[in-house]
Amino acid sequence: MDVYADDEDVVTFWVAPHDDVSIGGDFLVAAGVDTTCLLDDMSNVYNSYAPSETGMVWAPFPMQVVIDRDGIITYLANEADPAAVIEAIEAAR
Amino acid sequence: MADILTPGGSVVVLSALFACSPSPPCAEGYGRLASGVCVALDDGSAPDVAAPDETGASVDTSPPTDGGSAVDTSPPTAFELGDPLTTLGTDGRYDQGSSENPWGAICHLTDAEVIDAEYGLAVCDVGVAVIGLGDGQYVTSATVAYQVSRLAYDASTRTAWLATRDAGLYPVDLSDPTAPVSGAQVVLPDHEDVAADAGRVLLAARGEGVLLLDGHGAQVSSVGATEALAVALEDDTALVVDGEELILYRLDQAFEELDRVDLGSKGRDLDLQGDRVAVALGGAGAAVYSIDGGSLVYDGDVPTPGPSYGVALDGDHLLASGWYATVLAWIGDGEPRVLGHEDAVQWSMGVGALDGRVLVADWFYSAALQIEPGLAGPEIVVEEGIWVVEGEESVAVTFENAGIFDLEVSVGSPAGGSSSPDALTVAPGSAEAVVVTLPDGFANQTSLTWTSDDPDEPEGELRIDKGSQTLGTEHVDFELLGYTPPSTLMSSYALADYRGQVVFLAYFSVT
Repeated sequence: MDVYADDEDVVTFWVAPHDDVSIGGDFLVAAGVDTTCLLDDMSNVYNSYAPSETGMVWAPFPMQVVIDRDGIITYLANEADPAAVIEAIEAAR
Repeated sequence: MADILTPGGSVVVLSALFACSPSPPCAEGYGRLASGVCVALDDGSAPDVAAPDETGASVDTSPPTDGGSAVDTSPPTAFELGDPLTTLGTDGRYDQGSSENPWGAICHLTDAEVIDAEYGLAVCDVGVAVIGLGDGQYVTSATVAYQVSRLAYDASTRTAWLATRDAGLYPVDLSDPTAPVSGAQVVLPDHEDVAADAGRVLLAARGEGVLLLDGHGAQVSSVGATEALAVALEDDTALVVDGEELILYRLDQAFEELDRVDLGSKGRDLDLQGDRVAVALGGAGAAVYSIDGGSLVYDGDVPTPGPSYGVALDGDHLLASGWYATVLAWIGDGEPRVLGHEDAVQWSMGVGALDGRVLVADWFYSAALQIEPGLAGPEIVVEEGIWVVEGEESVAVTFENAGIFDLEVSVGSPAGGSSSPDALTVAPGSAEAVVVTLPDGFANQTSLTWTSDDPDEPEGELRIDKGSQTLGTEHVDFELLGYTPPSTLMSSYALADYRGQVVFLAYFSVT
């Protein structure tokens, strides 16, 4: 997240499908996070990802998504791999 | 792997159908012997105690285990069909909303140890709970600091060492487990894991290396590491996970490297008993090694249904936390063999074991389990829910057998659809697929039921949902409220507003 904090071409969000601001907010503050957190409180967006052609399912957490400039999902993973995320973001520019 | 263990999620909801009891009924076609063991019947008649059963498994005519005393973990001559790992009791008071929460704050249990026949320990964010092993219930607790994540217990000094990642170590005197006494903070570099034995403490301090401390927390010596993630210590033998390597040391006052091996994945937890080593490998499950003449010898993998962050050795048994379940494996004759799973109440994150008694750090729950020696089952592994994309008319559902007996499964059909085959036999360590044809006009959700001869999972339900997006598709537009910490003021954010920019979404859960 910090890598792209000042990058005008990239926007990053935390997304909380279950935790309201009182729980998620406390957690993020304690973790020193100042990135915007979206509340997917009905889990509609979180539950809308279908499995890949190989049948891989993106659940439960962490789940990470990169969307390119045209709105296309170019990266979808269920493990935290910062290097892979950065590679995906750079490829999506 | 993320530093934040946030399993959360409503996608996987543990159904009450998976609940088990200490004495499950024998599966259809099996009868119970006087010893309590289930054996296969040839024609549905009463089991013959004197004769071997049709599966070829030996008949155990020994007296039943006394559940009130130490469990006999002597090596079995053969395994018999039954439930090898049973739940004695659970306690879910660690949720913030529970009136019995000892701390009045959310507390995620992430690591556990069994300290004697009666008590175990489980750590969470703000301290350590002492838990009764007979029923898994909270006894008492000690509060130390925020984000306690790992635990080591030194039986010789009856001291628990609580690791906080970035706020040092805290010793807790457990001379009387019912009255734990917290000690002063020991300031140390940031770290991931701790081990303790015979008055010495080993600290996995990430890029700062591995530190050997005395019983007061003073540094004695150290060895360099790129990313020290886990440690184990027994007598003069030390093991270290450094990134994706497992390193064996002889450790007197200084570290003498004896061997190192490539794990293939980052190790997250270690346990050492004698010449046997267990490593939790996160998404890669767990692995077992032997120490032979100063060398590490790979024995085999233990697959887990979800990421493994904790392992415990108990004689010839290995326990591995596996997110959705705790896995029991037999390692008595070299290559590990999975005997069975015990479903987590919530998320199996850490595990401790001693003399057949097991304690699981199960996120908001503590769970006390017991190893039933000599028993093993087929072990069904199947999704609770799957997603299909628009236009798909059928989907393959995989039934896996993680146990050592054949698994028999009967599969129902979704309303208006079909399943083929509807009955299957899955060999140990194998998986078979069933093709589920969806009903015409399938809109958004359906389900099917299945039955099996898994001793503690005789039936279940699989939910089928329709998802709308995946790799290569356009992300559906959304508009969600959001806040930017530390402010809690809400604003509206629409994905469409960011067309022309690259967008990164990181889903997470605290609860």
